[in-house]
Amino acid sequence: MVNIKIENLDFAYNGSLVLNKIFDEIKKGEFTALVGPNGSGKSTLLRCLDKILLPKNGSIYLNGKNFKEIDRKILAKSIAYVPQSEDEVFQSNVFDTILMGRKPHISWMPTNDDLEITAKVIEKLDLSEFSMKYLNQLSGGQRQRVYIARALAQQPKILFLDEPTANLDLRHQLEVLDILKNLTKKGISVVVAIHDLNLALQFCEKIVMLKDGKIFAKGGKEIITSKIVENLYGVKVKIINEDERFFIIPEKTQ
Amino acid sequence: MNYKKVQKDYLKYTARKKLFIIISFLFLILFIFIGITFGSAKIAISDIFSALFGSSENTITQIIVNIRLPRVLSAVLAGIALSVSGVVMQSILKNPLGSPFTLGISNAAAFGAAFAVIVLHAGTLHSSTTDSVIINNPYLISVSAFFWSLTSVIIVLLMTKLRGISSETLILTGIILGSLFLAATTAMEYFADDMELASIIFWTFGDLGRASWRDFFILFALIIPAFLFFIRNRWNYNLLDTGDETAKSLGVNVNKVRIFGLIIASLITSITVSFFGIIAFVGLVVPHIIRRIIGNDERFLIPASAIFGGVFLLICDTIARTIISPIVLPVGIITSFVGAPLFIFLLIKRKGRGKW
Repeated sequence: MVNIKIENLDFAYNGSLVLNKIFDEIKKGEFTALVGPNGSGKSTLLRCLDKILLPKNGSIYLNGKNFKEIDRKILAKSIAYVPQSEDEVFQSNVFDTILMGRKPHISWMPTNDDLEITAKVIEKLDLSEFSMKYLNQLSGGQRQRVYIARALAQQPKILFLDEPTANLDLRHQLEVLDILKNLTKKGISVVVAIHDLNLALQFCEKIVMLKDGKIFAKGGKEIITSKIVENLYGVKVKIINEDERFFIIPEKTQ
Repeated sequence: MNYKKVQKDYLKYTARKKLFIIISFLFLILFIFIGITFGSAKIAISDIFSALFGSSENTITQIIVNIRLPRVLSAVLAGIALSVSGVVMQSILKNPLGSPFTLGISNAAAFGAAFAVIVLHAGTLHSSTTDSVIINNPYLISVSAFFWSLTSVIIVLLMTKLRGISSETLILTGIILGSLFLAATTAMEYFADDMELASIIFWTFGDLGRASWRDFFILFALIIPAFLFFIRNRWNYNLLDTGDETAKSLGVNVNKVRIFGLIIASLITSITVSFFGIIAFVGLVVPHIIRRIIGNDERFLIPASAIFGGVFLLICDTIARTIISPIVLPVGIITSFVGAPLFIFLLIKRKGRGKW
């Protein structure tokens, strides 16, 4: 079953094209890695896919329904987005921030269920001891886990994450990706914009490569060859295959 | 830590905030009674009850029912309007220095009120020293105040659309707009005759002295629904605090929430200004005191600021009426003298760099 279909998507900032004729689909329960050099349009694409940015041309469909016809509130019940960072002027604590993920489901006041879902997500993401702390008292990695937790509390069917592992230590990188992997087993589609190709290869079954706003290549793990990575980043790499696990090692810049 | 413990801790934490709101509300009731008893005519608490529930028609009852009660209740409403507008403007503009006064909205409204009296002849002028202008068309004055305050709002909104504008620049724009409207009001003063001059000056400093039951009911009819509108949007404002992207992603129609919030906030500000003149600093100081006590969660911040705003203005007005009794000072003077140093104190004590 197709969850999201992207057709001929263009997006421009101040007249310059950032995304150019993107076609793709996101299937139910699929774990997709969006990779590409800095400025290739990964974040912009994710923002378009959550209707945060409106495309210049082209359409996005959620289960056959055009995004334009879907109210933002309804969309928020299906799609969650985790930004790279946020800049809160007025600080709130961890629990309150994660509880905001329940907003699309709350009509007047959060119910006990909302509080329980929030508390469970906090436990799952190893944030219990910070639950009453303000966000500015946390480290970058802890804050990132809070944003991920908020998206999980939203209980979406599709989850977009912009560099979710960028600020995390090794253990939490693996834990967060494990949690996301488990979500995909429950039928939730996950798309991560990610720089670490090794993590992408280890966890994701689909890789989409973006370069200069265009899809450069897409497919399963098999599309990652030293040639294609070299063309994408302009860096020579060696790919090591060890027991069907692939490791990419950069050699030197051209 | 088990999730049940996390949930229990949170419930305790919100219970404390609810308790604070309930206690503030009791204080508000207490200060309403205190406000009625204080003044040039001595009134006992028992007189209030006999005036409200008894059938006596003596002078004390007259003073309570016709003078003190509308004044005290209007002070509460004006306090609610200014504080809640401050909270909402701060959240909508993501700017801790936002308030009706610092965004130039109060000055614009005062100009609009003066404009209505002088140019549109909404008031009858006469030379009594206590009351130099009789408002025979409060609606026209309020409409004019609102119209001019909207010009400030629109300029502020357009400024926020500029990329990379800092919160300080936005506030500077507001202060410049305020000065511009003050200059326009002063220009009208320059060409006004003595009686007109007296009426214009009235709006440049806030005074609750003319509060009547009619004023109270008009204020009530606008401020309470506006307050409920803000309460209804409390989650939206919380989400705006996290940033536009996250707010949109969680289903908030950011532009709509922002524009309607600012319009409603400037509506109740301009109504308050058109009745009582500029009462400075309430909308800035009250939200900051409450932020320090119960945090930035709009679910608690909006009602707590409303209640505390009522208490704050009530106390300031009681001081204004009694400090050099029998002379009654305009409350705007007291709020500025209390508010300005308090705000400087808050600026010095603000948590961390750029965080509130």
